[in-house]
Amino acid sequence: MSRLRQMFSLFPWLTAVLFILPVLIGVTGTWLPAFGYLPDIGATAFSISPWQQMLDYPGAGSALRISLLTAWGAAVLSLLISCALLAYSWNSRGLRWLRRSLPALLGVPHAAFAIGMVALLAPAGWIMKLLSPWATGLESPAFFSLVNDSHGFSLLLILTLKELPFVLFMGLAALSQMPVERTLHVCRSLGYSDAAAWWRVLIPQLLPRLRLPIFAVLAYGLSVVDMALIVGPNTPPSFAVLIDRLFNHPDISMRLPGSAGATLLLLLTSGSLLLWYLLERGSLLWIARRASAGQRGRLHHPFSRFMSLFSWSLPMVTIAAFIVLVLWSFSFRWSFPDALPSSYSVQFWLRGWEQLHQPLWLTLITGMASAFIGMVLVVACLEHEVTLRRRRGSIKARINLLWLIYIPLITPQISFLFGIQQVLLQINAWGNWLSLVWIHLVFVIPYLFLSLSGPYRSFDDRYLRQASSLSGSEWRALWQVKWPMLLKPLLYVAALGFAVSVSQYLATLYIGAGRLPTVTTETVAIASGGDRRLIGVYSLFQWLLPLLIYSCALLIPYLCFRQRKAMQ
Amino acid sequence: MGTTNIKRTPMTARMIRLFWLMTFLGAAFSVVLSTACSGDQHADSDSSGTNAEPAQAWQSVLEQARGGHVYFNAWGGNDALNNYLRWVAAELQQRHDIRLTHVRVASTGDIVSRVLAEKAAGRDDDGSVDLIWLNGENFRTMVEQDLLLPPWTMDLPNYQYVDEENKPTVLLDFSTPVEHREMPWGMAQLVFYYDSARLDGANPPRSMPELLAYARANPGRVTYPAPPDFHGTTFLKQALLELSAESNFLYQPAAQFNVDEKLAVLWEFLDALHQVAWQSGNQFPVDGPRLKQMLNDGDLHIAFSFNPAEAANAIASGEVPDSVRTYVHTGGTVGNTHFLAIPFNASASAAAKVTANFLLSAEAQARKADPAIWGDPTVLALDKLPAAERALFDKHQPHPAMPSPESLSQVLPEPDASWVRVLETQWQQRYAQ
Repeated sequence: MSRLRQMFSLFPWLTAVLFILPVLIGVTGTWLPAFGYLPDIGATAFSISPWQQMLDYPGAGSALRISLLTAWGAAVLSLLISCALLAYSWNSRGLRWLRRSLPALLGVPHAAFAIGMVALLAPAGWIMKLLSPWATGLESPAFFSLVNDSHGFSLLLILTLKELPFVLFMGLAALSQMPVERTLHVCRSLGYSDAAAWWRVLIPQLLPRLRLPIFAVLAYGLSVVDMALIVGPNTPPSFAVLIDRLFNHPDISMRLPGSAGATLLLLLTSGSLLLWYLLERGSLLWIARRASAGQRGRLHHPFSRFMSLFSWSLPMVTIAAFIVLVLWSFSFRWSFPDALPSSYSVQFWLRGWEQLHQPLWLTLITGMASAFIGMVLVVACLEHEVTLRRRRGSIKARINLLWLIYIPLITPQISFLFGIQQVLLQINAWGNWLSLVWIHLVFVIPYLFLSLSGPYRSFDDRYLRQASSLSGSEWRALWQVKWPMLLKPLLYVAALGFAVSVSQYLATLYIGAGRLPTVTTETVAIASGGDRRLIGVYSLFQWLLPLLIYSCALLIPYLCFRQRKAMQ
Repeated sequence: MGTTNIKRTPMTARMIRLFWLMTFLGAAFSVVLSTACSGDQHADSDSSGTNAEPAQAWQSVLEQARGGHVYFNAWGGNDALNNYLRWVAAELQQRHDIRLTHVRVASTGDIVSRVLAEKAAGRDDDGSVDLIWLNGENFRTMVEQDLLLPPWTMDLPNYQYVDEENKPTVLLDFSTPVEHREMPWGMAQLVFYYDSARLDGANPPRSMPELLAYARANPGRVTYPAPPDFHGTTFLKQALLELSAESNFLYQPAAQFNVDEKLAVLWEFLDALHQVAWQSGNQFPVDGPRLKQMLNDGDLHIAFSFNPAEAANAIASGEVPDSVRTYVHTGGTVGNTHFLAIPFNASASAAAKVTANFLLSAEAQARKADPAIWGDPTVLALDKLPAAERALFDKHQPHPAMPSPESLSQVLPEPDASWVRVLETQWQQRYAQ
């Protein structure tokens, strides 16, 4: 084995240790206070009273209900809609268009998206402004509210809209490794409609491959704080927001019930993931039983029209949210029910820039650093898989250790960030930039791995062997043949990693110690009640940053390979 | 790994260059960052100069402060404040060679937790917080946990102008004696404001019962933020002060009373109000500034703030229409003082003191009180100031949306801090399950 291959073999260990360690430390650092042990505040007696306190906290029950409802609702809906889109509108122009716009949709930070949706849907939002008074007859905003409703339905809906592109993207990535067209062809020749073929043959194969993304959606939904602050209820808030509130309560003894809550959230998440797994198995059995019933299905399902329309509307809603933020950011006076601002100003952009240029720079550098380091680690791990595959001669060879790096993805952030914060404090590394990059990496790496493993694994190893036998150097073969050939997915995935880093709210807040403000923490800080025009500017900055990086990721292969059409 | 003898194609060469560039940038940045961090660590040996003359002692503080970097942790949801602090930062840089960074925080409780965590971790002289904007419960927690610098505000040259005589809240922060452990920075009083173009009738309701009557006549147009947001809690305190036949009990610890009996009148009022409130009392706005947005949209007819100049300020910035006016309830409204404190482990405590002293100067206070800038009332006694400095305050144009000084004369002191917890918990139990 070459030295290079030996080096690669270290990376899976390195990655796993670097990224599982913080979660372990963090979770322990949260469990101890949950049982009454937090010497920092003089609590050294183990007891279960923090649990009692947490369960007795006003609104805790409803908060739990809201969190479970929104997380499960968003996961189930985004999966069902993704499957319906595939089944009923595969090969439609709408889906193709949606597919092309997925990168842009994926990169929209959660906070900016939520703010844009509020600007659209609030009682005095743009939609109501456009419809009033001519259609609604309203001179003042209506009494019903589409956002911040006390049951969390709006949070559920907006979370679904935000997660849908991710689930669909993961689904499409998985499909690219499946013989979709051939399957459809065979099914058609047996007289089945396309939709029937999808539901009975393709989606059952897809579901296990979507397990991890759905796990991530569930865990994210249970622990999301930034979106819940912006569109969620507040009487009571969702459970994660409640825990965050307890951790930052002026009465510091509230950290104990806060830790108990964080631990409970972890248990709930584990339970949810297990339940999902059982449901997935169950539904596969159910589909298998029905599949042999022999019904061919209608050729033109009425749904296909609708789903095709839907695939147009998803990017449209996002664009509308973007436009309303642009309008707000340039407005001076905009009152209800004017369809457009009555006066405009650029002063908020100037002010926003003045306030944000330092956080912007920090966000950019942090995102770049985490995307770059993450890419090095992930590529090295995947390259080690190539070694394994060569040695074992099997295409199936995977690194057993690597499931560990998905743990940060499926563990609620709030259940271990508090613990990490405590440890970083002890070693005086709290609020340090390197700690921030490290914690961002913990969340960036799983996404990088999730999206890069498909294209990387399907790369034909014969190119690399040929190149190394011709050049005599495997390193050179990688640099000159394999990586350039994979440049497009590599850059695209790096841009995704950057976007993940940009959208980190809770992690940045807990690790940055307030001294490392990013665009996201600043945006959420003013999002609740700040000046809407400035909120517009902030969220646009947050939105444009990943968009810019995505554009670069698309543009660089295009410029590098002007003469090689297939590699652009 | 033998890259030297590679014949580089233009494309690979570009990629390699990109790689090295990024590696270099990353490394360079981390080096810069770590030096920047260690640069902050010049420890201020806190000599308050007991033997020297006060002027000399202050001179030595000024000397120590030079080149200091002050991390000022303050709630960042107010744009007027953010702009004001940018001016302060520029002045401090120029006059005292102090770099001021405004750390915008979402809630001051975060900062208290942070200092506490640092104390627990034994980080005694290199804290991440140099100056905090706070009052009430957060101050009390910091005092109880011993997180503040020993009394220091009396050493500030500008402290002599503070109006201790007529503004009792500069000495008593929510019933906790201040004792020079925090510096009064600005005054706050609960004021209500309305859009005269939308209000039903010519006069706004000037008491809680009148407010309820107004809400009954105009259902869905009155609300308040959900406690524990402090605007929401203040609304509860105001209602309790107005509705209780006798309100002295509120200035003693809540534990001494039968709380259920004392609060019955409040819940009765709120039950009635919620029936006719915005969203029928099922939802509440998140915070005070949100009320301003909702007033602008016409969602609400009446909003309130702790800053008497809020409406004037918001008109100037285009956030609300010109027709907005401010008023206060006839029996007076809750008022308090907001303060600046320095944690025991501030890494630049001398620079933080110089910053505080500058913020207390007539020039900075006058600018802060200007409704066109921020409109936060001063803590200084104008009659104590030298004439030239007093004149700075006279330059402000009277604004139609500003309440008259007479209407602000009746200030109800904040109840004992223990009532805050009681009100918040009981409110949540009743209305946020």
